[in-house]
Amino acid sequence: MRFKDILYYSLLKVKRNKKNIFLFIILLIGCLTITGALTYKSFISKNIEYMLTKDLSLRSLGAMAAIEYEGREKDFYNEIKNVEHVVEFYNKSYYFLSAPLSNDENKTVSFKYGTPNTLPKKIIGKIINSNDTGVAVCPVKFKDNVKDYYETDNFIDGKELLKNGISINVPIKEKIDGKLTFSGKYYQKKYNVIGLYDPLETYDNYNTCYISASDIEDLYETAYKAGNGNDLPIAHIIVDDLKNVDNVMQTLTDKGFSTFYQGVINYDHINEVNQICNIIIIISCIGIFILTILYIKKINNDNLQNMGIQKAYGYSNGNIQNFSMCELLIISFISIFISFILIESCYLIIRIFFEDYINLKDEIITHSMLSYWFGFLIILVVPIITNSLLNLFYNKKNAINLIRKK
Amino acid sequence: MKEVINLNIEKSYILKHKIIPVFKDLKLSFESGKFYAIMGHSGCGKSTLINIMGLLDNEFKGEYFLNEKNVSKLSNKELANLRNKEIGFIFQEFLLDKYLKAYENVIFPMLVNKDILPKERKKRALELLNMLGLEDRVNHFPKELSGGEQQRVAIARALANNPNIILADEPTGDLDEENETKIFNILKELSKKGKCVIVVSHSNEVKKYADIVYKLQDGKIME
Ligand SMILES: Nc1ncnc2c1ncn2[C@@H]1O[C@H](COP(=O)(O)OP(=O)(O)OP(=O)(O)O)[C@@H](O)[C@H]1O
Ligand SMILES: [Mg+2]
Repeated sequence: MRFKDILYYSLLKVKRNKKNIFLFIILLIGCLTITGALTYKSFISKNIEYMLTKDLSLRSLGAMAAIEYEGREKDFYNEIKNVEHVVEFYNKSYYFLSAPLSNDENKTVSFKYGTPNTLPKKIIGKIINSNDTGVAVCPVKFKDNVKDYYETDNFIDGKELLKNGISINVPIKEKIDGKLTFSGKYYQKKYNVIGLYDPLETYDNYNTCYISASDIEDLYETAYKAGNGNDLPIAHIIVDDLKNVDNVMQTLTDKGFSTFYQGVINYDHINEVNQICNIIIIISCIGIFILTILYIKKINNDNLQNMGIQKAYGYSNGNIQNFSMCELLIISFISIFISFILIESCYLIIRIFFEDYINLKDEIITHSMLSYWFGFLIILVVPIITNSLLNLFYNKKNAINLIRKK
Repeated sequence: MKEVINLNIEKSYILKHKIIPVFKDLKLSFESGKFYAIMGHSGCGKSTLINIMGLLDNEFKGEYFLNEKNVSKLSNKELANLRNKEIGFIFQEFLLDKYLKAYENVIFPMLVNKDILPKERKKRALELLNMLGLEDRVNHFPKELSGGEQQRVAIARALANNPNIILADEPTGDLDEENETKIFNILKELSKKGKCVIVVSHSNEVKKYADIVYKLQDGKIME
């Protein structure tokens, strides 16, 4: 029997038998759940991997000098400099500074210490080098008002910043008799924005810009120093790799410094999400198995008389099986095709939605081909196995028993 | 005339461990070019017999020669081939494929017959339907046809591969008198063209057409 004939007549029958819609829906839902859950799972694990490699705070730590270093800041930093795996360190006070904008004192920009080691990995434009001054790297979508942080509008396009730069006007305070008062002077500066980054990559706020080491030092020493005590120096230290953080910590502790983590990974949460995904996948697999088997059994039962007629007219068991298999596979392929289209369009929509998040878009929201293949495989294999087993049983029957459904 | 069927069989059903004998030492032979009627009261085993002859039921004892071949000795493949090319079976309930149009139903047995070229199938199906007076019904689905028309489509299907033996189990059981006459006339024509036509029927009408009437009673044949 020619494959072409089997295919042609199977297509005709699938098209004309409206009951096939049910099997199609079962398979479609199954395919979507399995592929969806797997994609989500891979999304989560990529997210974690991404976080571990990119999130600076996870490989940062703090260290406070021992008592004997009081007034000997330089020596303290020298000690840190010599520790293996330390790629960057600076006075913790420089970690994060907020400054009012010159055009509106209620709006603020936050500054972070920007060097090639601390800057986000992906930057559109130029990066800040160690001897630069008066330059900044800002978010692709900037929001100078943190109050409406969770609203989705009111963003300033990063390209605007590239054109106009960013200017601050910080009132300088003095300490007189232990009291902090306004000195009447302002720290005014304009930074040229030379690069843009995606704050989602760094988990930064939408108003965080990076400025060079000397600029942030200048800003702090002039405008903020007075407000802070002259306690023991605290260093913000960045380690080359997550796995070396504990080593560095140990070395510093051995030197008599007190150390603390900057960020913690919530492994419990990660495991929980992973487990929920696994459960969804297992349950949907079992569900699909049972539903498909039951439904195919029903289809076969409805089709029993037809199989008997085919036998009476000289179809071999193989021919009969090829026919019913072909019909099932057509339905499976349609389900797979439709779910492929649905998943792809979801994917595209999500990408459009996250258009501005350079990193998230390219590195996290990616295809998981494995999820596709697994979902598709289940949708193909289950019907094939079920149908083969049922046919094994029907093959032994006489044509007349099939026709009379006995 | 050539003898196409010769059998000497014994048949009983087993139902819930009870043996129901249908016939014992049943000896029969059929020749091509003749119209046979098998009659008898309900439950005497007419359907059982014609199903065995049509190779739809192979659970019997004894010997059945079809075209001088002992069917008990044939493989499944060879049996399928015989059903396809030598036998055309007509059922009381027509049993057409409801998802196929009239001509597609007629083509269906040809799909597994290598002797008919794919491009000739449709032409042949249309010729057969034409011969049975269904030329303007070829594109109808079974549910769009009357009972008599459906049975004629079923006859066209039985003739699809030009078999020598036509078997019909009460082909007019679901039809009115007018259609019954039509069907018997068609079958009579076929026997005149050299086919061996065997019809199981309750209706006394069939006697008018039959060359030979077999009466089945208590598992025996009375001519
Ligand atoms: N599959 C079966 N299992 C058990 N007994 C059966 C089976 N098929 C038929 N019989 C019995 O075998 C006997 C013959 O049945 P068969 O159908 O051949 O009769 P029939 O002559 O065709 O009757 P009718 O004229 O009513 O169609 C009956 O007594 C019937 O009950
Ligand atoms: Mg009967």
